[in-house]
Amino acid sequence: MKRLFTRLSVAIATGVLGVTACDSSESTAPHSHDPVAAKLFVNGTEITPTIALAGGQTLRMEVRLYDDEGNQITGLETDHQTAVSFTPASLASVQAVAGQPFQWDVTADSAGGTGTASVGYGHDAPDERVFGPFPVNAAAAQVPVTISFVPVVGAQAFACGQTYAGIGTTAASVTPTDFRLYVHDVRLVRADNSEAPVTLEQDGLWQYQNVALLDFEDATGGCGNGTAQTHTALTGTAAYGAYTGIKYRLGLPFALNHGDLTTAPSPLNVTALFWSWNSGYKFLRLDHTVDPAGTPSTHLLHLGSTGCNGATATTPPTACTEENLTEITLTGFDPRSGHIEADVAAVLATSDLSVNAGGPPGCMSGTTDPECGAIFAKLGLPFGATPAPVQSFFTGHP
Amino acid sequence: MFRDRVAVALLVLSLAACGGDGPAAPGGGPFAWGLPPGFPEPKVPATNPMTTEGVELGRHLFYDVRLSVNGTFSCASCHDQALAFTDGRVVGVGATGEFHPRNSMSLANVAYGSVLTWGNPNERTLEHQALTPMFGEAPVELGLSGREDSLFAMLAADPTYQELFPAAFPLDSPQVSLATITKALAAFQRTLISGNSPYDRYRFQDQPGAISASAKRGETLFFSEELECFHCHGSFNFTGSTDYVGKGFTEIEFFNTGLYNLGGTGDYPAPNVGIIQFTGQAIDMGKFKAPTLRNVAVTAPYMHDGSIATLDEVLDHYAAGGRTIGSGPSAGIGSANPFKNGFVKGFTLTAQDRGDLLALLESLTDSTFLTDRRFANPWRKGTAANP
Repeated sequence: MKRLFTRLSVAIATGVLGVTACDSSESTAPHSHDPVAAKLFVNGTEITPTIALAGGQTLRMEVRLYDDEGNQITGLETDHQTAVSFTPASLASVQAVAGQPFQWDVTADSAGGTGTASVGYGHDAPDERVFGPFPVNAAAAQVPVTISFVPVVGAQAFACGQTYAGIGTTAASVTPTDFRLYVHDVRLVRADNSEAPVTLEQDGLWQYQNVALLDFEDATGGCGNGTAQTHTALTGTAAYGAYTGIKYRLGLPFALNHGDLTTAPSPLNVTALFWSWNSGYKFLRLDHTVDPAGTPSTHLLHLGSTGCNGATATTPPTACTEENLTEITLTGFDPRSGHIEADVAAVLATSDLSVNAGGPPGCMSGTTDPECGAIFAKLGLPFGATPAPVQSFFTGHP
Repeated sequence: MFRDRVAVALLVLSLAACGGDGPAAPGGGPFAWGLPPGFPEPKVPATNPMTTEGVELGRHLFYDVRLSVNGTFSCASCHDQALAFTDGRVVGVGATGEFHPRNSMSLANVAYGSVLTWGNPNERTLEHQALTPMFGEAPVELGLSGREDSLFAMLAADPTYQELFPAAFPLDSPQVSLATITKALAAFQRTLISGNSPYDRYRFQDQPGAISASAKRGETLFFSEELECFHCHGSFNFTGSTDYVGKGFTEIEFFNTGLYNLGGTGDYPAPNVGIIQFTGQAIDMGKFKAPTLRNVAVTAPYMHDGSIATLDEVLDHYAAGGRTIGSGPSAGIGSANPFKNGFVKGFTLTAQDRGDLLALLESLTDSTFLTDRRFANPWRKGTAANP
């Protein structure tokens, strides 16, 4: 090896690398044809100590054999065969490469997993010598995933322009005027409670980084100040596999919640969802006109952070005493076939929509707003001294 | 040798890049916005790219009284720069003396308007909007309906326009047309950007002392959930109906603020009934656009019909959660208007709060905008265009 290195150095120096490297004196040097070690390569680079595969993707692997002095044995391909096998066998599939008996195309299973690989070697058949096991770690494939949301008002589908009866403790009739919300940090949950993050498609409109705007209003009926476009399903990728639940956060992460609306990318530049730099965005905007006694009034639900310490209303804060982010955990949800219901009636179930008990009509997240307690409970948020119960806004469906 | 080859390759690339440029934009070089700090780039229709020459033509047309039925009136007659392009009147008055039902709107930052006028949700581009004051008959504003031939002949014969039209629209034939006139008017109006008020210097230009402590307290009130002002007058432009390059969603908003409540049924006095005129939906009674509050201290009187004289009285209206009119044809309790927006819920102001809010609103007056020579009348006094 040292001899070869010296020769190569000279060759490079003289600028006739190709010719010198193939000098016939090298190929006639005496060496053993009996391999004692094997190494695996991809694109000329050894894969060690672990063979890293990505689910669903194919790698062309090559085995190189070495003698007892550690020198690579070349020229064996003409009359020898090799094979690779994986344990468990489901870890990857193997396809021989035509005319290249020391190479194979290996395709990892979409589910990924860990195991080992062994390489067989011999004349005529790869049955004389086995090398390995080589440890294998295959990442699960990132596959497209769609998470569908269905807005409802109790048993009825949500729609702008519809009037819904029997809402809240006084069975008020309500007509929606807005229904939009932000979610972020979406994770799919397996039966063993392990989580797989969903990487949201960056569509330049609804989804940005790990944040998505869900928009159930279509600017019709009483929702005239909204946008005609709707967004009811998150799109992205997640690890291939079976899932039984989902977790996400209702609202925006602090780092994205207090920027400058005018320079923020969509969907963080919707003025209808912006409060101010101090308070950030409305995580949830769920507005209605209410008809409890023949005279329509309004009920506005604007969820967001409060108690933020910005020096002024237009100065970004460094902290908020009530961030009001809800972690939503849903079971009984399979992203391949299921959907998530967002139920307006459930959010307002224990609210009295016939009166404004104080502050703004409805709840704008104020810590002293008497109408926020009932709503925060339904959203799974603490309010004052009341600890956070389990939310009832969202339900998972298989 | 190798280095030489790279150099050759780069040369070829750069030649190709030059060769790939299309013909120059009509009217010459690109327009430099010179936007104030914190202001995004306005959206411009692809069919009317901004050019210095187009803007200059538009400025001449905007101020030219020959663009009226009797040679007495121009766009500037109702849109006076010193008043942030409003007219100080309760409602506009046209060339023939006919009253407009609405208060003349400020043109400050109209480039950012996702929707332009008080009560027409379909009026979305300045090019299209320009047709209404020129050719509208109910009411008559400039009174040019049916007179486009004589208008075109006048413009084609004028020595100034004989230079301005070809410079702005070298590829258009005919050069004097409704298309080029409205494009130029739109281009000029898009340059009317106000973003150098004391509030801007405080907010966007790192000058914390540019506004008073009182105005800073007013800012806190303005952006509070108690007063709710910012819900409708949000964004850098102090109106939610704001659009610009990079904005994913075009937001258009109209609100009933409880200004009227005829007969207790929520009606507004005709013809100023709001966007119900276009949508036909009962819930749209009395809904009008929330105008920008920039330069609001110089744009009195206020509201879509100019029915409130001072900012102090505007605060009374919102503090009461709607205006009560005791008698007369407009009598009614506006705060009980069933179509009123939920944010107009009323609030209590101390004398200091009131002064602080007024100080904030006054800090939005941009004196450089009101006096900028680029926005002024280009015609020499005593000419036919500026008698």
